[in-house]
Amino acid sequence: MMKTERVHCEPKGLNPRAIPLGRIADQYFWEVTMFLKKKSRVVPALLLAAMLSVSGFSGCGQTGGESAAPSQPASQAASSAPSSAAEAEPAEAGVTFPLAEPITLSAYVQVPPYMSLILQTFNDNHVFQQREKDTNIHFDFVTTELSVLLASDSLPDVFIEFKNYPGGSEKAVADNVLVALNDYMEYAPNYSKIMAEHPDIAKELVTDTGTITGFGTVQLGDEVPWYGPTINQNLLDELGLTMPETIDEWYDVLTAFKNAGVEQPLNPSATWGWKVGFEYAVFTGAYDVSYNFYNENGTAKYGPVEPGFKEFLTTFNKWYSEGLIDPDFVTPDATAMQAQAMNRQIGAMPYSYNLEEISAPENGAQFVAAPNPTLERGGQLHLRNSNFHNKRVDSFAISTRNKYVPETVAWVDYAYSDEGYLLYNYGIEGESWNWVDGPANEFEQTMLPQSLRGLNKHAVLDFSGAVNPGGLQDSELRHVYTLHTTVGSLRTPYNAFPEEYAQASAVWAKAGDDWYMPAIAHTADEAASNSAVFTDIETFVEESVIQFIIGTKDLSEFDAYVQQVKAMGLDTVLENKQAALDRYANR
Amino acid sequence: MVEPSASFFSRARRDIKRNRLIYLMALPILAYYIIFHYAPMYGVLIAFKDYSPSLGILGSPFVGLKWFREFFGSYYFTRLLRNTLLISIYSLLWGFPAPILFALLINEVRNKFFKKAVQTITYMPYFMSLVVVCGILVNFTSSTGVITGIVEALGGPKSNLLANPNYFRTIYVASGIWQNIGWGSIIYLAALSGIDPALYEAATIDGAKRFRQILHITLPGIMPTIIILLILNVGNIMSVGFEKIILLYSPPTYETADVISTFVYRKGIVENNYAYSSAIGLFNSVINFLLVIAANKISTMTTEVGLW
Repeated sequence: MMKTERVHCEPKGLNPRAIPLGRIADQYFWEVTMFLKKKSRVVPALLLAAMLSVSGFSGCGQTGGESAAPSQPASQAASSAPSSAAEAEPAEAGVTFPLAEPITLSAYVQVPPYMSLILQTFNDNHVFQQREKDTNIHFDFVTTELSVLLASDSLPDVFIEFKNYPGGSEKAVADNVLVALNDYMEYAPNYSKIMAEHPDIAKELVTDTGTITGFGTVQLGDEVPWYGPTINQNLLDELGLTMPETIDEWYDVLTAFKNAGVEQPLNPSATWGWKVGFEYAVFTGAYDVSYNFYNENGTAKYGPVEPGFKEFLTTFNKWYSEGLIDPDFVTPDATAMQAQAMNRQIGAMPYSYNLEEISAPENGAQFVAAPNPTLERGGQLHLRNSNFHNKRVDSFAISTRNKYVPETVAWVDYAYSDEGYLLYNYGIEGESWNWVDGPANEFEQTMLPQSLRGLNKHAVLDFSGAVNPGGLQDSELRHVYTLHTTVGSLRTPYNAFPEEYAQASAVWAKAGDDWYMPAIAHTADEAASNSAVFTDIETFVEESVIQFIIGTKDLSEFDAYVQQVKAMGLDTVLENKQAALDRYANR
Repeated sequence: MVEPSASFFSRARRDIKRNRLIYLMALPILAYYIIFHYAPMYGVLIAFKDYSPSLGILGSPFVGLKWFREFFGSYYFTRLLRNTLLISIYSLLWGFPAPILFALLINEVRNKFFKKAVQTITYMPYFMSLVVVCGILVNFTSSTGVITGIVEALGGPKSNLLANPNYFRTIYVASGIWQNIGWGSIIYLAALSGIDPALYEAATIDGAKRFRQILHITLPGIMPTIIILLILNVGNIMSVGFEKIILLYSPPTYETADVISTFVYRKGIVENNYAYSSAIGLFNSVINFLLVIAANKISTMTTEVGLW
């Protein structure tokens, strides 16, 4: 799917199977209503009925947010929040906070499900409350689907994460939906500074034509990989095996697992399906391909049609036919899989660094990260799980209806300041975090804004000062006290990042990622020509790849399969990718 | 009595006056159809447009038959058409006679308790949520499932049956019969109870045995019901429900499982290509419409039983 290009996947809360059924219904009934409105002859009662159906459907879409949160820890906690933090910020090119007159902005937002269970709206979030105190800007949140807002011509002032617009954000600027922010950068000194100091990051924050369509969620340092192969260390130890490093060694290890009675020596599916592992080049990387587009020294390539992929399929087909791969990997059941892993029924599987989810040490199932396999010992890999600096493209975009663009820009720019970094990622000092003596660890140092680097103290989340009548866990309280990644900000991924995660990441980070496709963007024309052919290609490739692995399609048909993919228009897509890649290089 | 010469409107007005309450009761249903079935029809316009939500239905540029051409020229077109027709025809071929046979069998059972028990048990799957039914199917046909075990015992392979394109239609049709046989038989049982017992008595006196009675009394007695249901089913031949397929299929079985409605779903809701999927949906509906008319025509010509 084309849309995965600029949207980064988070390890938590990702649900590729979630289907926005409410969306099309919303859209449809809104259209009907608008049509009826224009037809004055239609009986008012009918109009009313149609309107009711509109509200009924929008209601369905947000039940997750409304039915949840029985207690309201956030609002109660708000009253006890220290008020001293509200001090005036320095004047920034004409905007002085707090504003003399309070203003209210409407903001489109789809609160992620894991947050909507805890917060009703972002107004219950302490960061938003603090910012409102500091600036006198209040937000009213709109949760209607974006397509409905667009169709009904009732744009909000602000979009918190603007995505899935047909033709992309640049088209939205051309369509007079979004404001191009280039002319307003004087109100965003912190954001401008980041762009000036980090040209590589700045590339991800503008479109090919240099337009700033919105603020991104930026991470200063390189994020280490969070996904890779994992293996049950206990099984390895019991069988007297060493950690496999090459494909051949993997074969030996998996065979040994099978002979020892492990039901699924390798389950290639992980939680999000088999494709994710291949996309992150967990095994395909050994053959210098991934199940995706990649950038081989400036040339855009599509992994599944490359010769290396045939070799990969040959290996996997062999493994599958010898019973080394879970026969049900095509229809994975995430919950069952975790139980199976803990129950020693799975020997190895690609997974994220949240290894505690699949480990049960007391049961002899301690999963550890295994290095991405190579063909030969010490071989250099070019592809692995890799991440952009801009975590969420256009996570704060401003619509053309906004009457307070300078104020809005100044509001969001604070998130990119050093104080903003602490506020957004950690919350309010004493409530949800405290300084701890000693410098931040190596990883965290690279994420810190300049003035916080090299200090002999570092911020650590600590909810002991938090008001928590609802008895929420720390991981849930985070969403009340901090604004991690959702709204445009400078973020750290290492909030409460345990040592085990860092260890797993370090193992996977040994593989190179120099062929990773950067955050390219397509023009509206390219996007249209891609989507006309690529979704069909994708389906065909998906089913063919599985058939090659499970053997219902013989590998001698690989060339015919490549021809078919080309006949379906792959070359056009590759040309578009190449053009976008070239433009990206010239940004 | 209403004069046949009176105009339609004056007749209607008189009728409304007389049966005010009945008309009032019909009103919500009328409103339902207008709001949910007729008003949305204007949305098919987007099948001929390059629809963009920001421009709206009327504002989007007109592209004529572009989407239809794209669909007919697509690699998947023949496959989708083949799968849709085959799944439908197999469902009709095996699934349509099953409840009739079942109703005939039930009808011959004399033990009331046994009869009721069998009926209740066979109705049950119909009332289970499709998601649950499919969950059971996925579980039973996995490489360690119960059905796979039976297949293996009979000499079949021990593999995930649902991942094998050769078995998909069989699983789909067989589970459909299992789910619907009890419920589907109700209407035939109702029709059976309407047959005059005197006919059976007469036949018995004439020396007709059970099988003869079924052939010459029971079947002709429920024939109109059978024909009407057949016409309705034929009308749906192109619209294989997508829910069950979506719950059961996976990329390795797309080859035999992907049908027009699942394709429309993926194009429209997953990929947000509303215009394209509307075009396919429209094509599908037109074919269905023609099939109903054809089936009705053939039926009225051959058996003199028809929907209209």
